[in-house]
Amino acid sequence: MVQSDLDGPCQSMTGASVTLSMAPLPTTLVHNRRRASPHVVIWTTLAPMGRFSFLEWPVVRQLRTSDTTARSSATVSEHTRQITSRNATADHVVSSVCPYCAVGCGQKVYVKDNKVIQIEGDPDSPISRGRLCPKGAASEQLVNAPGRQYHVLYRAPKAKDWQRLELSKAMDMVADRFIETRRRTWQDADDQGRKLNRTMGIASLGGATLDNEENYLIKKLFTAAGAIQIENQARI
Amino acid sequence: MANADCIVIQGSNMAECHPVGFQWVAEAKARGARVIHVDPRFTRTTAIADKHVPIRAGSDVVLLGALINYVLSNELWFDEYVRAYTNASYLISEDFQDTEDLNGLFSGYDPEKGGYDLSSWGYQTRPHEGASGQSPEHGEEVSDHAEGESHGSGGPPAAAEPLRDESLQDPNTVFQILKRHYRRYTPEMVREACGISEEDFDYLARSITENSGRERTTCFAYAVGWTQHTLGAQFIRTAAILQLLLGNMGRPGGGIMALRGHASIQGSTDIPTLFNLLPGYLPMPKVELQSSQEYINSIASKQQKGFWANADTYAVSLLKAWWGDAAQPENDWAYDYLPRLTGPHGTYQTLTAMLRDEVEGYFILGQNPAVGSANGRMQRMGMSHLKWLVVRDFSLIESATWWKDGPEIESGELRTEEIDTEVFFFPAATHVEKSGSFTQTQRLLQWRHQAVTPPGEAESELKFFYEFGQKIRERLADSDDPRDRPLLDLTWDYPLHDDGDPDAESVLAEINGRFLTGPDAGKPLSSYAQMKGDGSTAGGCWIYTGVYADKVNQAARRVPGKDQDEIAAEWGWAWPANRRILYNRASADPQGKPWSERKKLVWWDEEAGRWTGKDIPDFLVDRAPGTVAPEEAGGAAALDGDDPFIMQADGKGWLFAPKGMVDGPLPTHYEPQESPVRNPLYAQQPNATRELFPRWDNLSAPSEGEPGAEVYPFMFTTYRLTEQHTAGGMSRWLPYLAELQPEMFCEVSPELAAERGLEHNGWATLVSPRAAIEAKVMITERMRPLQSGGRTVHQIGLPYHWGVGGEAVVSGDAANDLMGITLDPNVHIQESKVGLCDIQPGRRPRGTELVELVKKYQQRAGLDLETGNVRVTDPQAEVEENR
Repeated sequence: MVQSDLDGPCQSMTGASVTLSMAPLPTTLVHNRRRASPHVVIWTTLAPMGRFSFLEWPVVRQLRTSDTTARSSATVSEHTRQITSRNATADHVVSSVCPYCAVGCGQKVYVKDNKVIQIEGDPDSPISRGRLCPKGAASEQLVNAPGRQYHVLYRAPKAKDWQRLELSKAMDMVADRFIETRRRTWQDADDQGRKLNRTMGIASLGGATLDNEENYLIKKLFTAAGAIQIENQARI
Repeated sequence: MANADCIVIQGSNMAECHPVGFQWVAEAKARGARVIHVDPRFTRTTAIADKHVPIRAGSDVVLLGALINYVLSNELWFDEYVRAYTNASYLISEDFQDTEDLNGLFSGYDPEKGGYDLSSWGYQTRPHEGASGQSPEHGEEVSDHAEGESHGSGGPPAAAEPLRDESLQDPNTVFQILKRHYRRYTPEMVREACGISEEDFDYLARSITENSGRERTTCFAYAVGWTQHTLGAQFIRTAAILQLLLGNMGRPGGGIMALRGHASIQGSTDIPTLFNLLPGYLPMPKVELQSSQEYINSIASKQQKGFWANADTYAVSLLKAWWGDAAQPENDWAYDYLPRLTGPHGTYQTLTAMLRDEVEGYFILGQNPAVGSANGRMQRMGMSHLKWLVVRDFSLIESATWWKDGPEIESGELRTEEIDTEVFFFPAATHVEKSGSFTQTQRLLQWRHQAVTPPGEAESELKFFYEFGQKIRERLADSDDPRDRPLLDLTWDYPLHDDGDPDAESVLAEINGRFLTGPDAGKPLSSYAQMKGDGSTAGGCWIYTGVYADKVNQAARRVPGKDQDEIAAEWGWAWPANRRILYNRASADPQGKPWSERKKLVWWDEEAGRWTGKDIPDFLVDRAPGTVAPEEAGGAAALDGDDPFIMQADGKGWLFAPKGMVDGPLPTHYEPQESPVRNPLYAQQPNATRELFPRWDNLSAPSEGEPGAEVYPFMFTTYRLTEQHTAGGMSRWLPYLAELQPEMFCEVSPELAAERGLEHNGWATLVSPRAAIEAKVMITERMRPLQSGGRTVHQIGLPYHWGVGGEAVVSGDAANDLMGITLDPNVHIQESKVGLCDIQPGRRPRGTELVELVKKYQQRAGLDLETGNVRVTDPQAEVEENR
């Protein structure tokens, strides 16, 4: 049996003859485009409509329309005719750039009710011409990942597990520690009396996944604070 | 790349790691280009290539050096290009001694310092009154290793008037030195050192030389397969020499493409979250530079050619951008607000400082060192020494949870209830939940518009650090301690959106720069040439000036590719000045005409009296080809009409690097820190200037010929897969991607599998001097044993995406746990493309037995802190002799 990822007409043709004995599948599968196999399409053509129409017989449809080779409109079921791309339901589409490697492929972000519903390649991009690799194509799941964290967590010294903490409280605690460490580890000058004006007690790692504007603020703030051990993936 | 006639991909698996970029290689191939893949493994890239040339990892300089020798011996260089645009005819100091004279070292090596005094590598210069003929600028010592990378956008200072021999015959010319240096890099040597047959070498050599010249161009592409070595920077230098000899720089379809691995890793180098740089490749000041003038003089002299001569304008504009009115001539533009370096303070030096309890607090921002950095055990142990740790990411990566589910908890080396480190986890916003720009691998900035607001407590780094800065400043507001002035005087007032997010475009505008005084006060700068050193301009990153010209976010431009020519100049914005091909003056001949119709890019328009073409000319737009600049001129004004390399102090492409590289003016083959063969070229085995970390938790395997070498007999190398990303933080939490590449594996050849009794789909345990890990076995002919150093060399391939933790959809042992830390001296990058290990069938032991296993191996091999950590392996005698 051919299992195709393609939507549309060619599906029902390729597998039609072997699918009739299949038991009806849960309708949720029908809505899952990735798993929509040919037999599902056939079944839904007949069953949910609840009525039988001679005109809807595939072979009649084939004769009735100009689709004599049954590779186009004749094979489109009522169900397929009724479904639309989820992207068509988006409130708006936003231009973006893939967050993985450095090729910089263009992305179109489809948004509905302040939720990202899909991310696809941007055909306008002269770099990527609409293409995305498996990672870029999966980036909707990066946004909506099941393991994504939405809350600040804190692990106290010697503690065996996390605890929740208010965002502003956590930032206050980090700011206090930052100032305290900076004070404690400050170096005014070296042993020859030459100015150092720095702390070696604070370090940072990361930046290659961040925006230029973010790296700019990070470097600016840390440098003004005298922290020099600021590094990112470019060293690795 | 689509315009290349031949593409050599070496040190990269581009089809796997940059699949969408690879379409341009495929396009070039469809247009008739030849594609060659040089790599230890047969990969997805190889599958598309015309030819696979398997190579022993780490021997690339031998191969590239032999190609240089082939070009020179067979008189195949692009003569007019080489004479006009490179330093081939320049005379080098008579004190210079080559590795051929000193059996693997250059003149100037100091065994105590483990580094070079560069004074004998300088140009001979026109004698002035009382001068000896040597350039005083080259007499400067390299006091530490933090300098190499600080000139990423251009060339380091050099003398203004070097002596030349246009006939190229003088034995002290760069050209003759180059010939002598590489004369023993022969096809036979390539076979011996790299395991590449003479036929394969011949194919490669013919391919690149037949596809270079006026009508044709060859392109090289590399990634971290070239950089992650103890002489990584020199791998790229070797390719640069070759491309200069073949006339492939600054031309369409030519060049050397660095394929970078993160969305804005280029941007985070340009606007660096790196210890040794300030924005725009200005160096961070070192302790000996106590005034802004000393600092600026160390970058460039006003007398040298090219745009680095204006370093004062870039530096003062940066200080004005950061400290505004508090930066005045009276306080030396607030130069003392900048902290000072005293040596390399890279991520691995910082790690050892952590282990010494010198670092109290650590921020981890979208990176996963517990999995992704070399010697994972040291990384995790280092974090256990911190007082406080801040992790900002999307999910609970291993660097956030090592204290409860890391490998050292399982082995009993760490106990959760004894770890004092406080850990803060802050959820981060994704790329669609904030606005901002990424700089991709070809220096192109592209703006992303915010699509949705961040969920829950997630927020962008922009917001986090803006507010964090506010909190720190509030706490210090009443301070009269001078050390707090830099924080209190910092310009830190960005307009906020309704949700409290700082406006990213206002930050971009600050980066771009603006006029502070005069009729245009407040207006954005449109070019870095407008920057001034008198405090009348501000700008946060000079190379990005122009990205906000006319108050327009140029990075957000999106004229569809199909409505533009191939250059697509109206899609995003590339630094500098939206040029798409750097040094493109070299695409025309010295008279300003394209080398050929087929390869035309920019040219001199005689009638209009200016440079024009398809790309924005990377040259003074009105400098006519035949111009000879007045002798007293400096900076851009000193550029002659045939000086295409406008950031170099002499306007030329450097075949020989009189400055800038701390481990040699010419790339030289040294064996990796851990090697299964002796260096076939010199008695000097490894790079004598590599940065060593001799520690009991970072032991090295003995190389061939040293006692115990048989204990770790096989090479291993690490790499990426399409379906995962780096240390997994952005991929192992995604069910789609986790399903596509679910578990750690190792690729071994059928021969090695037979030798060790490994079964396909079974388990294997790999043991290095640092760790033991387990992986599923994949037996494949894609891994091919090579003959090198008179023996069979087996290489094992390891993807490095997995880590041990409890939160990801998929986890597994981390390849980086096997890696040791030894660094390239120029850029402080670790050698993670080559290591030695053993492999045995079956799973690794658990708990303390695992620690015992690693120890047992160490004892069998007799490892100690000396093993592999000797700098000079033989030429010691010569060094002494020549002192």
